[in-house]
Amino acid sequence: MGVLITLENVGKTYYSGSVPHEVLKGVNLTIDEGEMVVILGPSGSGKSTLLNMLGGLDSATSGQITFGEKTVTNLTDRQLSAFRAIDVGIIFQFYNLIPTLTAEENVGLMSELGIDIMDPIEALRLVGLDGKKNNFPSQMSGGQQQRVAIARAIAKKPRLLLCDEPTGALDTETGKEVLKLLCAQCREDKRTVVMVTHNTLFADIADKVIYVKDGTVSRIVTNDYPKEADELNW
Amino acid sequence: MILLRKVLRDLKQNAGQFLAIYIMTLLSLLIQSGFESSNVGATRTASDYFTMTNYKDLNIEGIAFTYHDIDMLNNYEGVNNVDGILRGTGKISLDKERLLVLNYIGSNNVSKMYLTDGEKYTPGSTGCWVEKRFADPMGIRVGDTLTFTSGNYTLHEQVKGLIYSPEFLYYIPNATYTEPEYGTHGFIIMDINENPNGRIGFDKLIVDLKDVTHNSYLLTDEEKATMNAMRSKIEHKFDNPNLLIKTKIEDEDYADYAGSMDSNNAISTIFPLMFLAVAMLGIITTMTRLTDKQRVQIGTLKALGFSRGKIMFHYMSYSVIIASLGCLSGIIIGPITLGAYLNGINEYYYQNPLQNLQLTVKTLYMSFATIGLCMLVTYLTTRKLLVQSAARILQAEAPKFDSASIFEKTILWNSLKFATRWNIRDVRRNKLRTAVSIVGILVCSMLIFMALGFFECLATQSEWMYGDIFRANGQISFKDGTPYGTVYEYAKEYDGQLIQDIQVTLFTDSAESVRGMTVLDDGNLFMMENVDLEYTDLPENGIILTSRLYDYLGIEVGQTLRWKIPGSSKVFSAPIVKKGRIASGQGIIMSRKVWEDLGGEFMPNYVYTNKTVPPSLKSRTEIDSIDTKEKLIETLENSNEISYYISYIIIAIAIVMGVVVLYNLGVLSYVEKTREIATLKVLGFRSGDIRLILLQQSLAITVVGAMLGVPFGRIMLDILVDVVAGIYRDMVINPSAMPYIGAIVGTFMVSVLVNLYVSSKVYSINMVDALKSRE
Repeated sequence: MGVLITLENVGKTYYSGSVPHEVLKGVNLTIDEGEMVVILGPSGSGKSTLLNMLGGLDSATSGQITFGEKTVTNLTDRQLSAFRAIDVGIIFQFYNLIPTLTAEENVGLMSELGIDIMDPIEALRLVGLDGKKNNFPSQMSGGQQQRVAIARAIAKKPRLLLCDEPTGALDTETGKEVLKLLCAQCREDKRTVVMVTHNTLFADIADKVIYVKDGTVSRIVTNDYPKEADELNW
Repeated sequence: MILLRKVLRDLKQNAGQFLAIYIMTLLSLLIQSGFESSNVGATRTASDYFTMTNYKDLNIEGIAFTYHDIDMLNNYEGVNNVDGILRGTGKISLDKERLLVLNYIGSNNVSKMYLTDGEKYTPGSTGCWVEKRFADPMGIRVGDTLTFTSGNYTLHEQVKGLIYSPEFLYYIPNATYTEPEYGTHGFIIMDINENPNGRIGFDKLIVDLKDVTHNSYLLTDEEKATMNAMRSKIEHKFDNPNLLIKTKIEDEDYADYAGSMDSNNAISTIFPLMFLAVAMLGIITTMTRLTDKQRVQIGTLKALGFSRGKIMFHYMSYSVIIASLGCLSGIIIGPITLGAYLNGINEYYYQNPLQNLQLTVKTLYMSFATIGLCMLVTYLTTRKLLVQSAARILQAEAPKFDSASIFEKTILWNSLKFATRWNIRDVRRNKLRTAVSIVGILVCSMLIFMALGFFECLATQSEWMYGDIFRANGQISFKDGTPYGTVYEYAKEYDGQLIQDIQVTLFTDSAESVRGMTVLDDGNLFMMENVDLEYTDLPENGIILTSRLYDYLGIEVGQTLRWKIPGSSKVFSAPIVKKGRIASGQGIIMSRKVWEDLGGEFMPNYVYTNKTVPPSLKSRTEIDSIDTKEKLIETLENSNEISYYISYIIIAIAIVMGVVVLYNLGVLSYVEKTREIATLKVLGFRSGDIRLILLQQSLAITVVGAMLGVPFGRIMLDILVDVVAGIYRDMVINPSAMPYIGAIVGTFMVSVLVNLYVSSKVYSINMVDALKSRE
């Protein structure tokens, strides 16, 4: 497997008025194609910011991020939009479905951009929700909503799947179901999955665990024998 | 398609707020298209009607005309046709005795009849042609034989046709009428051979000129010059002081018809712009609220790869859809309601068989401008969010409230009640919403003040004219050509003041206008007022020009004004010594001495008197009419009827707008505060206490908005009066306490009622749901 993502000396500073807050500093790391990566760290450590950098949701203040042949940090706003639309699938902690669209419409949303996506019903079938295609988000449970969000993310067959606390708002059993789906994306479809979480147990399912603390990568651990999601208990 | 579905569902979910924008854009276009369709329809069809009937270019009256006169004029170079008309009155017994205006003609090539049924008139035809609007309600049909009087004769004439005539665009059968009552009196046209007195000649000639082919607004300067030149030539030829020649632009009916359209045209521009301004305010608040509410959705779309332009386009489509629907509804509803209503008023006064409703490209431009403005406002409100990165947008925005104001650091702050402090902070946090609320209330208050002030101007106009200026109890009006000695005898008998009041042509280097010339003999039954509405003596060495004409004529006090009187080519001139003000009729006023010093002949045609004049005098041949002060007031009030309607419409609009704006903002405010209200409820506040807190804020905002609205209302009142009065009349703008109190109390009532309704929702807040919901 080749390297998909490289971060070189990446930093991010936010300003609150004239007061700078350095959220990330000097981050260096690589992520391989088809790898299952878990980013771990306490609240406020900068792990979500790191995820946003990887997905082109936010721009780095310093350093360079490359994705395959692309230098993400050099992309224009328009090119970044295209990058997120084609290469990246994002799954949020609170699902972020459009409340006025049905499950099928939420999944099919990307077709509005003229992107070749799989049939929304097929994507919903993959997450076991084809029977709920006409339901609005408010008519579904949290787990079901998250599965729709996964279907939305995988429907466009992205090279990178970014998950920000995907089980954070779910109970244990539902969380496991979601993790299984994500693992399947990585193991069966050979898709790179990067997951941010503060749940240290998730480190067991990852090929690579990146520990973030106070805006820096404190250590990176490679896991030669990752567990299945079913094997986790929390 | 998916995003379009999202738009439609969002619109449904936020129906309340979008409804307000819809109503504002609808009202904006309703008023614009309503006035526009009526104006344009009337103006264009009037032009078509005049062209189709070959409307006269010159009207000649004042003396008896012979067939020889017609032949002579027909031989003038530049004259196309000349028709003679002999006018008279008659009566017909139908359901009861009805008045008729009879016209005997020798030909009908000029101001031709507009036939709706029956056969065409040809010279020498027998029978009669009857006014369509009289024939229909009276059940008169073509082929019927009518028996009616013509002077001392009784005629039996077969109805040959039902007609309109441009000569009867507006008419009243005699001076006892203050306004037409079409359908209850009629006009009849017959060949001169049917006149029981024989072919005795005519009392009016109407002339069609070869080089004047246009009518109404299409008339060119060259055509106006052609008419004036021919008038001078004819005046010179007849050389008779009693001759009165008017070009068609000086024709009062024709000019009044056009004048009423001018003021409608101005109204059709001013009011839609006001509504548009309020609609924009509504869009700012609604779209700001919507984008705030959909912050996470916008962030999600951006994170999913939707470009800034695509998201912008998506959010602009909300206001475009609503504004387009509002514009479309306004364009459809405006003509069929307001347009039809205005046409009804026009039809009440004027007989134009072609009158209809027409829209122009101006309405289309107005719609585009409305939609364009909506897009711009939406763009600006959405842009400030979209320029941020997806990650930033997805973060919940912390309330922008990082420091206490200076006031909050004072001792006074601590002494304030919780409700007051809460409201002050709420206003600080929601500056835009507060500003828009104040502007909305301001406009409501402004409109109410303007309407009530205008109403007062109208109501006081007759009191001003017939209380302060005209100080007699009545007037005797004499027919043209009544000798001085005869009029003088009446003045002596009734202890009256002699007045000469005629139409003259005023002209300066830049403009020309047919207006009144009033010459006053000694007496105090007609008192002039200056611009400060103080009585002023008539100047001994010049004239008074009334205030509305200065701008129009491009002249100032101290300059010399020239004028010509009917039937004379002599040009009179005199310096303007003072500005005067008069309610109805505008023109020049001078003393008899000044007029005679200028070489004018004092030929009084009115006697103003405080004595009671027996109505029986009306039957005397020299008397045209006897009018009491009450009748004169009634006439003036009737002429103001349309203006009264305008003031009612403004009040209705103000209330609708106030309710819509306040309800919209009230709901917005309530929705934004739902979590806070729920928190207060959880903490133990009773719903009534919370309602009082909300009411306190809205009352404070209403006070500010209502007070600010009054000075703006005063400015708008000046504009409205200026537009409506035009150059034909004057109104005193001196608002009493009524418009002030009315504007503030009216706005308060609207505000309090709307807020009581909106704040009643506090009772139904589900604390758990409100605190749980993330969006």
